[in-house]
Amino acid sequence: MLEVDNVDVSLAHVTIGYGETPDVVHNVSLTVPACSTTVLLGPSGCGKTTLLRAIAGLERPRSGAIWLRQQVVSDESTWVPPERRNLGMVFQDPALFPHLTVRDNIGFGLRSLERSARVRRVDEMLDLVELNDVADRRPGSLSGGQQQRVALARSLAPRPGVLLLDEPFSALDASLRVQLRTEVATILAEIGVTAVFVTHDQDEAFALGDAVAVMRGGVIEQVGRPEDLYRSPTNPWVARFVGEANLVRGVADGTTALTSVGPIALRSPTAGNVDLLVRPESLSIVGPGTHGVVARVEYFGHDVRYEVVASDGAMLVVRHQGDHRASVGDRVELAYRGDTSLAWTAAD
Amino acid sequence: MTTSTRAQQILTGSIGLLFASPMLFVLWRAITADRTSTAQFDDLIAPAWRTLLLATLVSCSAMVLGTLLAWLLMRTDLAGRSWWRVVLILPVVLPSFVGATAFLAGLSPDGFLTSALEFVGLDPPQRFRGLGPAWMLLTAFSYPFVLMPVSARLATLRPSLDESARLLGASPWDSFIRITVPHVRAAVIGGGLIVFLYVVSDFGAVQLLGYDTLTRVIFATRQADRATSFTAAALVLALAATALLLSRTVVGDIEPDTVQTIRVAKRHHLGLGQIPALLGCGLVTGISVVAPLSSLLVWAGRGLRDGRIDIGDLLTPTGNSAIMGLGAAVVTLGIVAPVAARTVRRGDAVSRLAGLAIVGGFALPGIVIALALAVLTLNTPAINALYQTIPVLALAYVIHFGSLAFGSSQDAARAVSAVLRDSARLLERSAVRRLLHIDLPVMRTGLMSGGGLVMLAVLKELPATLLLSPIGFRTLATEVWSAFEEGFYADAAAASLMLVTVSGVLTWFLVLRRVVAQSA
Repeated sequence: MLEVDNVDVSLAHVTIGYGETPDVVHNVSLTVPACSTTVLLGPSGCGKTTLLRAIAGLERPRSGAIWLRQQVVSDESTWVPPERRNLGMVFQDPALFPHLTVRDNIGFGLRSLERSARVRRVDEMLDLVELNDVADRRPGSLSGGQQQRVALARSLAPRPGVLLLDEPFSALDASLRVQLRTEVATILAEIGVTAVFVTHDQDEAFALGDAVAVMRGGVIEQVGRPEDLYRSPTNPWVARFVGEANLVRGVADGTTALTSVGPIALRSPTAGNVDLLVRPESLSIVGPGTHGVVARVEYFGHDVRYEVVASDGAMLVVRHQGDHRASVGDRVELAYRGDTSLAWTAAD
Repeated sequence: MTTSTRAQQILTGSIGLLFASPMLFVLWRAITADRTSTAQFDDLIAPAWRTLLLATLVSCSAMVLGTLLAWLLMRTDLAGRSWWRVVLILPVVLPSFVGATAFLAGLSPDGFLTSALEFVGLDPPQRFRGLGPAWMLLTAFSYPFVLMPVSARLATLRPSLDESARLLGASPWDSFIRITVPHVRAAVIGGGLIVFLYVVSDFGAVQLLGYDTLTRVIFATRQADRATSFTAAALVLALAATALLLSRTVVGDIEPDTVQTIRVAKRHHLGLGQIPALLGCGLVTGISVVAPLSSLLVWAGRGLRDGRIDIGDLLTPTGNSAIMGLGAAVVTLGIVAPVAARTVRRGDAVSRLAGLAIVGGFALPGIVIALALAVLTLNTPAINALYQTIPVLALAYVIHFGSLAFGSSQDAARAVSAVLRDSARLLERSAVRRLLHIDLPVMRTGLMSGGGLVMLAVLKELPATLLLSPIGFRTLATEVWSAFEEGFYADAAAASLMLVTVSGVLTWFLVLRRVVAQSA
């Protein structure tokens, strides 16, 4: 199918399953442009890791085809084993070889190089991940973050065509995760490698992905740039998965919908009962009033999050920058401050 | 330092000295032995060589067989593998002397194995003695010592390691050599070392199969020629120590991979390979379990039918075995557990040395410990009344099997974490009540399994029991031994079956139950 020069990974109608159980991945097609990072984002069990393992050659699809740099590596008649795909992969557990030093771990995939070239490449990689001072230690004595950096250096050392990352930060604690995420994003941009990254964390997906593919139940729901996903999700599920979302019930008359928080302009003409996507930061509390009652206040410093029970009983989330504007129990007036809104025909 | 901690230190040190005493005594006697004739030393060269040869052959074959079977069980889709996982470790129930008894009785002209071989058209061996049979039988009964640790190791090998290696360009064979082999190497060599020590210290099987090793020399010369006895004992110690040091050097300082596996590894598809794999497992089980048990069952059945065996005769030895086992387990725990807890909590030099002496007891053959204790008691006027009494026999068991309780006790002590002890301290002032209500209940599982291992080992022990039992004191092990020596095959078989049953039940609780639960 796609014979585009600047595409490094492409999948066509890939289905993966075992025995009688339902398919883990069903009829997925995807292209990953060269030198960019594509994130597979989805809840656990959505098939994202299985899809990544199929690209790596660790799972064999039941049907469909996979190309790596315009070479078929997997279809009905072709099967290229993992060791001949020229891929790097970083796993959820660092998967470092416990009996080898950091240096030997990084050099593991460089057997074809001459000794001096291998030493030079390992040194380059140690510089890249800033681990020169632990080069001769065994992985067991390193911290979780250091281990994951060694794993990254090891997978990048043989200059893979494509780098696969399977939730590499999920075993780390929160602050370390954010720090390592930034480091990895910098490294990936610096060396310009094509990467496919799997995660269930929306922040991570948005921070790292040039494109994000949202998966659910074995299929891709939507692919796009992070801002497109956030602003224009194709369905309410995606809207909620990629960020906090209020679905506000309203009655549309073409260009506007009337809701419990006032009229909201529609992005595309609709009529009848609709659910409107209203992000919490598009709502604000403008003063005392009758729109709802504050049920909960969470102060975050950079902003404040309110839960307001609207007059029709729906729970609305409101986020404000700055200081408190209301306390629990206050009756408040809300205003919509956003752009035109997406609307879906109401479910019932 | 307070008086009570100093007292604890002295006590810990004395326990260490107690465990080291047989070894020190043997070395001292061997060094100070009368060297008027060199003849006695020359006489020992051939038995020493035979011991080394047999131990090397058996440990090599057990390492190959145990590793191969572990791989089949853990990494392939072998048919009925959850069943094989239990069946293939059953040979640990059979003490080597019971196995040898079963084979010799079964291969006698009217034995079951003779008729079975004739039935399938094979000639039964004319003479089942010497190196070949000893090699085969000891391998058949000892390979589980390799199979068990290697299986455990393979179970912890994360699939992501192999997958990483493959993605870094290693072929499946490459990955096996560069990743899997280093990962299991320590377990294979550790298992091989246990087998080596098992063979070096074996007395029952080699004595019955007429293969002259050092333990046989010790047994034969222990009364008439003590100089030779002690030199032989020192040689056995030297062999054990060499094997221990050698295995340490070969293993190196590999840190165990303690990361939990996240996914279950995919199993290799055996395909047509199922047939040779199943035949191999069948053959191993046939030799190590089916043949000896059927031989014993047939002899015991005959004895029951013609009324030569009275089951009531077995009650006393069974009771004695059980009481000795239970008593030794309790005493061993009482002595070893405090030292183990101290090594875990303080790790001071005294407790580590004492721990080393306790663990080292494992490498001492039972017959060497028994020889040392027998001569020590006989030659010390103040205590020579203790020779061949229950306390000295129990002491031999404690020293010999203290190492079995030590590891479990350390695990048990680790289960009572520092945080747990601190919070107990804040809630309960009395140290005794803390011990009774917090420490012991938490440690119970670990202590029970340590005690169980000691009890199992005591049941199966032969040479120390033969040397140190009071005259007329019968246990199941001595019953098997004396009945066979006198040619009463049916009685030997009945006592053997009783022994196998009791140790089988214990093994079920200690080992097999867990294996079954894991494979379910």
